[in-house]
Amino acid sequence: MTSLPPAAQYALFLALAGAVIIPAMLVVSLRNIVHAAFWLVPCLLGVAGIFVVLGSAFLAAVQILIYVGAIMVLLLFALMLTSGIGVPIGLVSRNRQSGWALLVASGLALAIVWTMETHPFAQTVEAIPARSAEAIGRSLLTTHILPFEVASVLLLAAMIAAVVLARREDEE
Amino acid sequence: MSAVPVDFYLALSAVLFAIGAYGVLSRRNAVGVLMGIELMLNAANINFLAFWRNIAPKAMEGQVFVLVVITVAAAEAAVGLAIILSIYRRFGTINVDDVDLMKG
Amino acid sequence: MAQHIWLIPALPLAACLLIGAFCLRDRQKWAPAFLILALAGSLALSVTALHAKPWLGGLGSGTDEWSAAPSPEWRLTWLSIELAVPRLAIEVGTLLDPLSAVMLVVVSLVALLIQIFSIGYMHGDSGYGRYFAYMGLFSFSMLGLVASNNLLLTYIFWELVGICSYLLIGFWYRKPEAAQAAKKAFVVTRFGDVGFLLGVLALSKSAGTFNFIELHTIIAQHALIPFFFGQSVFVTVVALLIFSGAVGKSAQFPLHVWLPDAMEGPTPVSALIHAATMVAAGVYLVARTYFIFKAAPAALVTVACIGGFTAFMAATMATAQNDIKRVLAYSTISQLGYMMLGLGAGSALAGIFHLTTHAFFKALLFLCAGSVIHAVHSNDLYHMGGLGRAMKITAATTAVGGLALAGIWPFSGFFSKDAILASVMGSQSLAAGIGEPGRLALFGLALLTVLLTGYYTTRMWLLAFTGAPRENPLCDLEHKPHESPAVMTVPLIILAGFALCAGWFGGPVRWFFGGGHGAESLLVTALATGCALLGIIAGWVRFRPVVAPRTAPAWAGLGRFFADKWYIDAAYQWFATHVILGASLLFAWVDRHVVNGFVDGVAWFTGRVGVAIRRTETGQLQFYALIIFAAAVIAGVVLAAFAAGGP
Repeated sequence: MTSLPPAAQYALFLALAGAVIIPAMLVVSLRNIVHAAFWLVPCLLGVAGIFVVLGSAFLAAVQILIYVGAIMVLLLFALMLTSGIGVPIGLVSRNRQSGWALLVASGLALAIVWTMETHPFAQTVEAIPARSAEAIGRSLLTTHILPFEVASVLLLAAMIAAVVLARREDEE
Repeated sequence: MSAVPVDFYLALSAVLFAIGAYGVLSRRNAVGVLMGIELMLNAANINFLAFWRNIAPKAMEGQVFVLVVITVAAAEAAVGLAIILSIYRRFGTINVDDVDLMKG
Repeated sequence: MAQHIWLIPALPLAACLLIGAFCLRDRQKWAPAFLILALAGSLALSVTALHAKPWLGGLGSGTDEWSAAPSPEWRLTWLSIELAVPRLAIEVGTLLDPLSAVMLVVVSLVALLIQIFSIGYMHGDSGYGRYFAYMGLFSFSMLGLVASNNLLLTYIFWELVGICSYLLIGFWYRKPEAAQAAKKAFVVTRFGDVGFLLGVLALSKSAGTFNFIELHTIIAQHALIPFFFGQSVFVTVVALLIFSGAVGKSAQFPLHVWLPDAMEGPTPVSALIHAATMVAAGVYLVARTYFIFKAAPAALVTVACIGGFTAFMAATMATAQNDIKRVLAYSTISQLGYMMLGLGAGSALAGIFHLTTHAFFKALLFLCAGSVIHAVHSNDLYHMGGLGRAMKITAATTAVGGLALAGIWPFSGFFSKDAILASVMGSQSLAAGIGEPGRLALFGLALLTVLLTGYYTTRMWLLAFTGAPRENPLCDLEHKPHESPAVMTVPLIILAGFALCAGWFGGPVRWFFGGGHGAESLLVTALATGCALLGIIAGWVRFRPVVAPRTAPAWAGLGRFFADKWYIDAAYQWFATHVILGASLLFAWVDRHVVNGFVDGVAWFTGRVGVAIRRTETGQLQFYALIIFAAAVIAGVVLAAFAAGGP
């Protein structure tokens, strides 16, 4: 990204930001929950793009594989299993406190932005590592081996939990 | 050095987080709530990488953290959806307004 | 000898405990044996104590002062409290001096005779054993009170005597009037007891001791440390407080109202407790603490005035009673007033002398009344008549007692009443306190009382023993009244002997108490005898057999006033019903509405708060999440603001 002229960088950022924000807004507001789920895909893809622009292609790939690939499918499965065929999918999408929720969410965003503006960060000029995948892999198996192993245990636990929770009661 | 200052990414992450929060707080469908949570997690990831890129690119913690967050998000989505299935079987609905056994 | 005085009260206590252990249900017949043995022992010990020459100390020496005594005491420290200053020790002990020696003999003698009488009187009663147990307890308390060597122990026995009085007045507790009377006695004397206790505490705190001998020394040397007002005012207040206890116990105005009602108890109880001994405890107390009263002339004058007034008032009431025991009860109040008058006039000797003679003749009169009641089954004088023919012994002994009461020579009452009247006449302190006219007025009241005493005594004797028998619905005509059995008449005779002779020991008694107290005035003697004879003649004129009324006449005018007890009882009743009950209704209202209202209000308020708070417990996850997010936003903003703007 740094090779592009500044104007192009801004334009790219803007495009990716739009690809993230606009689908996100649709995700949280659409009445049809399946449509909402589908709009999550471009949002996540946009986030992957942001990852690329920020210099971590590996993470972008991981994002697409896991999020768009696995998690989205899982969400859609759950939607189909709980809404059922023939049952109207569209509940009234907003609950009674949505006004307050809007207020709080906006307040949240404003608070973060304002905090950020009053505490400027110093940016560095260091370069990022060239091959991110190799760098990550190396650190995962040396310096950051503990989070790596813990994450794997976490996944095991989650797997067992999901199996147990989703079991039917009358099965032995 | 990137021409786009870190503030922009942070602002983007804040907005995405707020949208996700709105979704969590106002959706009736339980799966809709989960989708809001995913948005919030992604916003956090953007935040992490923005800081990594612009403040301390030599430290691998930035990327490792993002990786761990994605992992946790996956695990959480799995377990959460299992819970939602269980609630659906018990109550016949996934309208979170109806799951108020703790009322009073 | 002084070391063994404690045995005198201990013997009846042992009897009471043994009776209580063995004789309350079976073997009731044996109950009196224990008590009579014990009282005989006490009497023997008391008489022996007279030989110990106790007159070397205590009340005596002609000036009613305490002189140095060679260890008349036996003391034992019960509880010693190390307060700052002074050190206060609670002791148990006995004191042997002329006053207590005489009282011990009188109390044990009269008690013994009355218990013998009771064997016959209470025969067949279902509570036979219980009666003698209570009597034993009473004897213990009274003897202990008389023998005690310190003010606190006296107070403890004082209360014990009050309890025994309650138990014995309400002996037939199934009878509502008896239960009411017992309660009334206890509650009314309570008013006096509170004052007494306050006096005891105040005195002991400033003097640092309860012991009589030590107190006497401190007050004589003006070494008292009062904690309010000056020394003389303090001593007066203490004396008056102690006197208030005597007012209650000895049934003086205004706390006299319980004694007539106390006649609900068995007649021997009335004889022992409410004539001879317990009611005399108040007089005894004033005599015991006489050194305090001597230091407070105003209190002494008060004692005399209350005593004189009570004597007159009660005598008027006695003339209008139809119940034989009530006549005697009011007579007792009147005579107690006489004793107080003697004490207040400055002569403790006269007061105590009258106490001893009164113990004999009043106990005699009550036992005679008991004998009559036993024969006729009724208390009412207008159910009696002509009993003198069948009950010669009782009639004779009653006459002896009556003459002694009226104060006719040579009976005992003559000498003691004379002593009191003479002391009033010659009293310097009274003249100083209420002036010469006041003293003469008091003397006049006393003389008037002598007249009334003669009148009502004659009335009582004539209505009961002379004339034709009257209609008695309580007794069928077949059952003719007959003389009481020997076990009842022998004590009567013995007591009559004492009622006759006790006055002759005036000289030796005076010597015993350490010296004479002034020449008697012939004028006084003449006036007193004259009034007594006048009263007797008036009674004879009105009630002699020929003209005596056959049935109870209706009272009118002054008679009504006397018969209704000067409306004092009615006044107390009105006060209790309207003022006290009214106040208690007010308090009840406050309790129900204000206090309860407050508590209910707190509960109601808590409930409302709970209802309000419950609205946050929606059970809905998103609501909770909303709150969390909102709080996080606010907290973050606040923190950031402080980090940015603050130090």
